[in-house]
Amino acid sequence: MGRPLPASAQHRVFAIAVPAAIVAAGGSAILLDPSFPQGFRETVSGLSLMLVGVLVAVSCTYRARQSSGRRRHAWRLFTAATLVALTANVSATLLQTTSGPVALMVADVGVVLAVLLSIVGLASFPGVKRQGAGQVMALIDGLVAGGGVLVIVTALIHPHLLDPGKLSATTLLGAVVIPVLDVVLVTVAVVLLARASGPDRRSLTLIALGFVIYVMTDLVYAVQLTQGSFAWGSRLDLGWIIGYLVVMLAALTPSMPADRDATRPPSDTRGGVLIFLVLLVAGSIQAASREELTTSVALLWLALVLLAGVRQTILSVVNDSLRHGLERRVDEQTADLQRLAAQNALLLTSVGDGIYGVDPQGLITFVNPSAAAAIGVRTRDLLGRDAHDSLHAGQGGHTAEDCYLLLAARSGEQVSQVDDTYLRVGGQPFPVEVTASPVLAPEGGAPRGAVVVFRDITERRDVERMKSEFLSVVSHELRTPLTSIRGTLGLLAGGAVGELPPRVAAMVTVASDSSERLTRLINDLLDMERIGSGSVEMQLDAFHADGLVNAAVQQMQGAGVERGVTLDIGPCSGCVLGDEDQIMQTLSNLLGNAIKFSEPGGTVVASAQAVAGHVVFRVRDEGRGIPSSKLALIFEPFAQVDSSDAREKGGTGLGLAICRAIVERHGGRIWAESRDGGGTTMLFTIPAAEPAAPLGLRVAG
Amino acid sequence: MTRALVVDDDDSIRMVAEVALESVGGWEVLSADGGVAALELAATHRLDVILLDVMMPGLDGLETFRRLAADPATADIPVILVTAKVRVGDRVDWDGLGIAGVIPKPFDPMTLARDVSVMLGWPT
Repeated sequence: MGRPLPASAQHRVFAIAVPAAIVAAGGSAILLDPSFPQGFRETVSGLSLMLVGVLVAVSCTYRARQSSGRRRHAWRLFTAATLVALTANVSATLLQTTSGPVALMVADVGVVLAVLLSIVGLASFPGVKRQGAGQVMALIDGLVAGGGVLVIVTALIHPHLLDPGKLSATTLLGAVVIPVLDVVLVTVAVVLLARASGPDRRSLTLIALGFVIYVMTDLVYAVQLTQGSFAWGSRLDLGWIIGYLVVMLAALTPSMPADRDATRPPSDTRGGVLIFLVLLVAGSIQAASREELTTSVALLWLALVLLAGVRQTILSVVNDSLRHGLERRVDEQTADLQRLAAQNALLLTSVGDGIYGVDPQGLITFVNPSAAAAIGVRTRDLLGRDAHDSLHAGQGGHTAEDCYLLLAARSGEQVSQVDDTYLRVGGQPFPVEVTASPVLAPEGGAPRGAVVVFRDITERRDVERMKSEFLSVVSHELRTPLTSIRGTLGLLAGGAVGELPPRVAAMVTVASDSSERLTRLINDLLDMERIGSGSVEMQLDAFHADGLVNAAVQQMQGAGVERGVTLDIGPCSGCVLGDEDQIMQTLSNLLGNAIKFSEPGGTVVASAQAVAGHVVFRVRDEGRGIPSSKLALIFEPFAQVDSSDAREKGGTGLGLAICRAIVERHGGRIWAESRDGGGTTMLFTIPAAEPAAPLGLRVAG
Repeated sequence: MTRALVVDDDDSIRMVAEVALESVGGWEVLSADGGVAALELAATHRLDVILLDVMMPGLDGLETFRRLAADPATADIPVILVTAKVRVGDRVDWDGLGIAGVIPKPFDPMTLARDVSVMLGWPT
């Protein structure tokens, strides 16, 4: 297949072809003026037909190369038809000087062949597949169109055709066979036009027009032939020339892009109008011919009217069933919509969260009962009111301009606020958790508003406060007896009240160690709760990472010496923005773990490195390592790599969980890297302090 | 000899503190089971330091401290709060009151005297 020309090039070709065709037709019309001698006109006619024949053949070949599949086949057949007609005409012209009737015969045979090829070509065009009633209608359209054309032909040439005295072997072909084939050709063209799919419609319209011109010319030719008045070189030849030119234009028509309707059945209206036009023309010609209606023609008319009636009935039935189907579907979908709407309404009214909508101006468009109840008003009292003024006024530091409700409704961003404050009627504030989601138009563009979901968290706040107070009291109450136990045991084990027998001393040491562990556990539990619930405020400040690492290493130096582990400080860079106490707690915790899991004589190295917006802290030991399957688990509360660890190493199982809570609160990340048996590196990141941070850098320790 | 006053409503804690400071630190220890008794002892004895529990029935630790600080006779005695309300490393909001330090409960009895000395800048 040849590469299709781009659309712009196709349009240029067509733009040149149209005026060229008009000039050619006009030129031929002038040269075929009866004032010119008969011989000259015959030559002009012959040469013109040959020229337009060549043009049509070339155009159809070009179009075939641009097309594919059945279209390519159709255009090739048109090329063949044109070449056959051309050959016949050339032969006829050559033979004319020696034998007129033989020349005519050759020309007619050629035309018959050409028409047959054209019919096959037209039939090769891909039509839109239709089914059921559509198929029957297409058949009836074909019959009515054919019958109509037949009526036209009969009315025009019937008297002459049926006069046997005027028919001869020579004229039989031109006067009978060609008109009949023409009828078929035009019928096929009309039916195809009625059924053509989008991309072919323009070409097919031109082809049909060309063939109609051609066929009209043929009919006149048939009449003249039977009357014996035909002669080459008359203006009649212009009909064939123009017919050819129109087919050439059809071949050069820019191919239309296959629109998305291409696979839909063509409109029945177009088919109906075409069929009506054919019948109208047939009826008009019949009326104008003033001939008596013969029985066969009358029967033909009867059949045509019947077929047209059947077509209309089928159409009505099809339309009725379509309409009923549509009505049923509309009913079903309406019911679905109503069900959906009822479901949504139920959802909105039954949820415990307050839900309301705002438009881009911030006016409330709908409110669910929970929202109205939380505010303490009736639903309709909130509708149309300014959301910010009604719910927010003076609270949370929002002004109408930076109110996030409007931000969501205008910018299209979803905004969540975990600690907003709304106002009840009468001005009493209450804490809420709010999410405002923009309502986006499906076609894009600015949001149409926002849907805001809020939850009164007064009770949750109370529960959190009670939990926190409870923990505080419990830890205090636990610590008081623990102080006595630990103190007593510590004094006994430390020999403050005298030397103990060795077995008693050993047992007192066990009890003393356990009381210390219990103390740590209570402290860690409290830390865990306080950091996790956020009840301890973070005091963010900028710190040099090396200061923090140095201070932590110094703090843990004693524990290292006790176990015979060397603590080293690696390269440190960067500044962090964080809570000094909490970062120190994390570092000490990690250093403590590293010391605990190192063999005596081992080394633990702490370092810090500034990396793209963060500082990565590392604590590396040379201990036994952590199996890769446990690397992620160790940050869970009470997770130990080895169940004997808790006993042997004296950990509470909460240290790393607290570290993770602290690091995540800072917006960092904590993880471990380890090779089994090859040491462990614990890493965590803390956001770097902006170089232009207003806070003065402090050196920890 | 260093003389300390231990104030705590819990007898056993008081006992532990007494033993820790006397036996390990070699100090002389007076003790009181509440704020009122503490104020009386402070007014009548020379004291080097007062270890004061915070949560006590009647006159609590902070109020006792305020009264000690308000009385010129006792205002110069350093006061260290010993409390279960805080833990090691906690920031304490009692800055500005003039307390000399905070020791969280449970404390290590073997190092208590040394810890107090370090807080007060005494030689250990």
